[in-house]
Amino acid sequence: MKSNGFILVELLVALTICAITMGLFVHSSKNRAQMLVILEENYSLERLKNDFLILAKIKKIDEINPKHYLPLAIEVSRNEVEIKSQRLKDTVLQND
Amino acid sequence: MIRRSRITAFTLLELLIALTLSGLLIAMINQQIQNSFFADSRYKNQLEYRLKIETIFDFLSADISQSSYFPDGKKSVKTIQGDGNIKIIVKRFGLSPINKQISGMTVIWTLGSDGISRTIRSDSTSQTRYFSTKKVFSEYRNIDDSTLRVIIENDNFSKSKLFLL
Repeated sequence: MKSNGFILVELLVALTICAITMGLFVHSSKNRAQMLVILEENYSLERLKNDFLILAKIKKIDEINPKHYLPLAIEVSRNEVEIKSQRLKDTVLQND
Repeated sequence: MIRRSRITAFTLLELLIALTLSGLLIAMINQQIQNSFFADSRYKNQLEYRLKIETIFDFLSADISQSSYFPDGKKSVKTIQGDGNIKIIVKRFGLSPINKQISGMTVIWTLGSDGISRTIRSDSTSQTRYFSTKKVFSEYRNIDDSTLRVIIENDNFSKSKLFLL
C-alpha cells in the first residue's frame, strides 16, 4: 500500500529549507544594521573634515570633541586628527 | 481478505508528540527571541534616527551657506538659546512656492523638546516641516565671531557641526 505520510527525508528537507530561510533573514537584518553604521561613519567623517578645516584655520583643533563624531573613533592631537576606526584606519587629517 | 501493508510514515501520535515538544521549546525561548528581535529593531531605529540628524545638519548647512549678508559682510543668521532649545533664524533668497519667483524669505529652524522643524516665512507663505518629533537637547556656541557650533543631543548620541557665518 502506498504511504500517505511524510517520510523522514521529506521532513529533513523541509526543516533545512526553513533553517536556510531563517538564517538568510537574520543575515540580511545584520547586514542592514552594518550598512547603517557604515553610512553614519561616512557622514561623521564628512562632518569631521568640514569642522577640521574650519578649526584648523583659526588654530583651535583642540575644540574637536571625539564624542560628537561617534561611531567614528578619532584621536585628536595638537596638529592632526587620526581616525582609529577599523574601516578608515590610517586616515589622518593634518593642519598644513 | 484485504491485506494491509505496514505504513512507514510517522504516525499521528508521533507527530503530536513532536509538535508538543516544539511548542514547549518555543514557549521556553519565546521571551529571549522577542527580546532579541525587539532589541535589534530598536538598535536599527536608533541608527536611522542618527542618520536623520546627519541629514538635518546638511539641510541646516545649506540654509546657512545660502543666507544673505548684512552690510558688515556677515551672514544674516541669528541664534536664540532657550532651555535646551534653540532657534536659528536665517534670512535668504529662494523660489516662492506660489509664483515661482525668487523672493526673500526667513527660514526658522527650531531644535528642542518638540523635535526638529524648519519653518519658511515669506510675504506669500508660511510653511512648517517637521523633520522629527522626538525630543532633543540642543545648544549653540560661538567658537569665534564667525564660527558657530550647533550641538544636538539625546540619551543615545551627541553630535555637533560647525558653520561659518
